[in-house]
Amino acid sequence: MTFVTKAPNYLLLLKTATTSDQMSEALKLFYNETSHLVFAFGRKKGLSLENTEDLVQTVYTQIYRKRLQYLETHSQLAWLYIITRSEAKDAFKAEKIYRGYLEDYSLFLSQNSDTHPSTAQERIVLDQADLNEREKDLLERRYQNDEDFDEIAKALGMSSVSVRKAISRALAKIKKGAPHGT
Amino acid sequence: MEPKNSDSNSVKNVWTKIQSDLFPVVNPLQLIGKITLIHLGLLSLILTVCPQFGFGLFKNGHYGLTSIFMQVSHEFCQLACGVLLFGSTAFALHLNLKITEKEWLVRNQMAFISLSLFLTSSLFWMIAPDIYLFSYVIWAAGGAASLWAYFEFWTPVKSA
Repeated sequence: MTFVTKAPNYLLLLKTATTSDQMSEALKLFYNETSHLVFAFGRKKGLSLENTEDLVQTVYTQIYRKRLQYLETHSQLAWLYIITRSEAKDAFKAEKIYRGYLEDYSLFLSQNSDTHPSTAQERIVLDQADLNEREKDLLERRYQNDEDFDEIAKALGMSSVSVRKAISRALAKIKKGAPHGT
Repeated sequence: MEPKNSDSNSVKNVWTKIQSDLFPVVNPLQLIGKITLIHLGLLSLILTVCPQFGFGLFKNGHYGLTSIFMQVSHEFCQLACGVLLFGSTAFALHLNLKITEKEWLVRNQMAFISLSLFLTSSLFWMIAPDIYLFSYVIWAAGGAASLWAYFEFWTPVKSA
């Protein structure tokens, strides 16, 4: 990449700038050279375009705010990556929560009875998910009988942590095996 | 230099947002309003530890900071009051203003110092008209000195 070998140190320019014009110019040059990396990172990680734009804005805002912490001996791209990775964590978390809300909201609004599977339908889903009898038993105890983890652990002679893990694995199998939309 | 990204609209839009957030064009009226709010907020806070105008929270024999300042002398108390008030305003402005706004302030620092002293003094005079000239001069000198020191030594930005 030509940027690595030939580009001037824009972050050093930004750090040593004394006027807003100089700072704006240095940041703009760095942005024009590198923003495609942050855009691509956000998109590859599954963020929507809107959230990717927010991520890019936050990253370059942080680049500006942390300009005095940048050490000129370090790579500009490494500094950009560190800040991008740090800011992206929040963006991924926010997007995950938002998607969860959207899914729940569409379920809430749905009038279609197909979205409320009967016990028989639930049983089909469990079978399709290729669960073994022990996992089915665990799920039934947890979600049909409303037993908590400690109660299940006591009844089956397992530790509470093992019960949690086994249920978590069973749910993951169901998610993987369930038909789309159920 | 043109951006390398394929989605150049997104790139330009985001840059516009970054620029307007970090380097906003200064609207003097809005900026003066913002400074006034910050200054008045700090003024209210500082008056809670000063017994002079009757707003102090420490009235039962405890005069907060004043009791410390007055141990030195009355004049020192006046000077320290001016430094504290305008110094904390300068600090709050430093934390809250964008760089372009700071540059605007630096360019207009004499007007800013004079106006802020004049308006604060007027406010105090309205609250308590029997202010002694000598005490006022010491207080104003402390305030002006702290603002001047901020512009001279602390602000990383010099007039563009």
